[in-house]
Amino acid sequence: MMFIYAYGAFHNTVTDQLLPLKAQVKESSGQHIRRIDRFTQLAIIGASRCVAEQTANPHCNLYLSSADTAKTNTVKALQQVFIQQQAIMPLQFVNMVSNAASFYIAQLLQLQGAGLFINSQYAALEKSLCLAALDLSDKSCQQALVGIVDECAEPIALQRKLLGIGEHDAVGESSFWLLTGSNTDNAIAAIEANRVFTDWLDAKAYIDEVADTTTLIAAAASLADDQHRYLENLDAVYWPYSQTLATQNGQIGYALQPFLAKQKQQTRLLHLERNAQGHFHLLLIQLIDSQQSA
Amino acid sequence: MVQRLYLAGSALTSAVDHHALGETVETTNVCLSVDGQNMEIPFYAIADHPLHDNEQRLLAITEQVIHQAIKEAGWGDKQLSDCAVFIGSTSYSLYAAELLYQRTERHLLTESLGLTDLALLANHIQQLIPKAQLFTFNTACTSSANALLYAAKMIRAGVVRYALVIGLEFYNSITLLGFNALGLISKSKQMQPFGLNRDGLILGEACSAIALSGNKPNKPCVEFIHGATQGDNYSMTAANPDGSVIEQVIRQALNNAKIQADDIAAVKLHGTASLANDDAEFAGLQRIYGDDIPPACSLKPMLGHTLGACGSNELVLLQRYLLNKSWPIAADYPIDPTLPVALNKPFSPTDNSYYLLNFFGFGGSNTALVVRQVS
Repeated sequence: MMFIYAYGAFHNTVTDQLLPLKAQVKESSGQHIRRIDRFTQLAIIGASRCVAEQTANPHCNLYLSSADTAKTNTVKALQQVFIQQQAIMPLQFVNMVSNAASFYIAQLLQLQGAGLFINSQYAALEKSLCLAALDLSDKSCQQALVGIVDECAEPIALQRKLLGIGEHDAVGESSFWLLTGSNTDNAIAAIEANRVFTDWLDAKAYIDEVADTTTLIAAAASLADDQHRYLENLDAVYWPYSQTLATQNGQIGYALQPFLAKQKQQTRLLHLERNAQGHFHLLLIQLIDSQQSA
Repeated sequence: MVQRLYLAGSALTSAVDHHALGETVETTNVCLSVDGQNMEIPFYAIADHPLHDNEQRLLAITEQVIHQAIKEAGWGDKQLSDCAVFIGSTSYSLYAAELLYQRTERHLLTESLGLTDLALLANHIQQLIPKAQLFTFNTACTSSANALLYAAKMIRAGVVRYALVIGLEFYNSITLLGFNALGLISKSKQMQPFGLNRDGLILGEACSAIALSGNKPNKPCVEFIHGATQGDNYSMTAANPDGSVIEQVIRQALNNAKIQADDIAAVKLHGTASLANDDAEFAGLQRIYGDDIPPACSLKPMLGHTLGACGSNELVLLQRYLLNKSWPIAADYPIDPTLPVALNKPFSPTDNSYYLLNFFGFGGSNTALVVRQVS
């Protein structure tokens, strides 16, 4: 079983322009980190908040996931080379390296474990949690800091196009992190299941078995209408959390953060999303009573 | 629980196609124009497919390699429905995004040009193997080595019975210009890992696939034993030059493989021919072996540095040598006397010998793998 010790979140609603994040980076990390891009800034803010009260073990692996690599950097480089026909600067290229953000976080938090960067358009956090579980299980690391970063590309019109939303719609930008391990001490929650179903009938059967009145079903926007309707009619509490703000891949943080903050009445969260192939990614998290885990 | 894992099938498309093992591979000069200047950068291009074609090139090469590996493994629907796919790359289909920019008329070039083409290859692979869960690793030059490492973990944990590991790195201008900007491309246009006159690397493109399974093929093959990956906070672009982290990751890989350092018959070096990398790699090996470093090879003078794909590419190429009972001698140049690694000495692989493969990448990512040749 995988346990959650702490979480850290940063959610930003973008409307007209991207506001700088330097102040938030300084406030969360306690350091003035120069010459990093927005993707790395977002990653640092979320990861620093996650370990603000519960320091990560040095033998902690780091798993950063995202739908894309640093989009703004890549777009800039493409425009620079193919429109302006200008050279790429060394630091610009280094920051385009996808695991640059992981490096800065590991350096900041003095982590000595492995650092992985996982790309996925769907269920990126779930996939990172799956890899982290393998490492915790074979004792490759003692803890796992697992995060998902969703950067709003600049210009914002590009991000809106990627999301398929209107030209004036708000865009969500987020960084959500979990500090996890295999020891129950000081745990605030347990990940009871992180499963993939290739068939809706199998997913449905599993949900029927585990979801009860204490369960909050966080249904991602990627689910089909009839799947939403099915979940809505269960005894569990249906929560179509992601239908309010368009994000690319970081939606899950908008569900996990209020749940782990105990802003919801339920003690169990079932998060469900569907990928382009029609596979269902299901994450089941149970809050742990602090007195029990102490 | 599956403990032993084998490369049941494999395929590689690279600059070494059509070359006999050990033959010299020529580079192509790629012409790029920036800041009003034209520059020629050496590059190891895939032999069979014209470099400047279209995005179908990426898809066709990838598809061909995947089908070859699956065919060699003898996998059908049964295996593919209990299989996860692990991809390692740094640029994925960046070339497709570049083509979009190149093709679009200047007056139509706007911010609305999307990045969706970056996911082109991953989406295509998913369509080829629709039931598999896809994991895409992007950890610089360790990407596909890490993909293999986690594929093995997932089989051993019983999550799936089969895994397909894919390393892919295709030509794109931005990567070439980026490495050029960092001053890492060899000005002499010769890649000489650990060489006295080494002056940098030459990039290459290649695609490989490895079908990993607990079922031993009925023929001589390579067994994947174990490995380890570890972060290094020293620098974004270089491993700690004192070799300490490289030593740690190699020792961890040996420990996971349950063997001693002396059990390693030979080492496949990361060997990029960049000054900092070769120094750090030697320092790491020296910390373990002192002056008695096992015979070694670098495969990058044959493939070029294929970045995120070098893990699977170089393992598949090494496998060809091992099964052929031969050893790549790439060093027909003087070795740096301060880095005395036996790159130019004959070595004969024997059955049941262990081999260490090193991979180090930007972002402080270091990975070491251990394989064994079995009859």
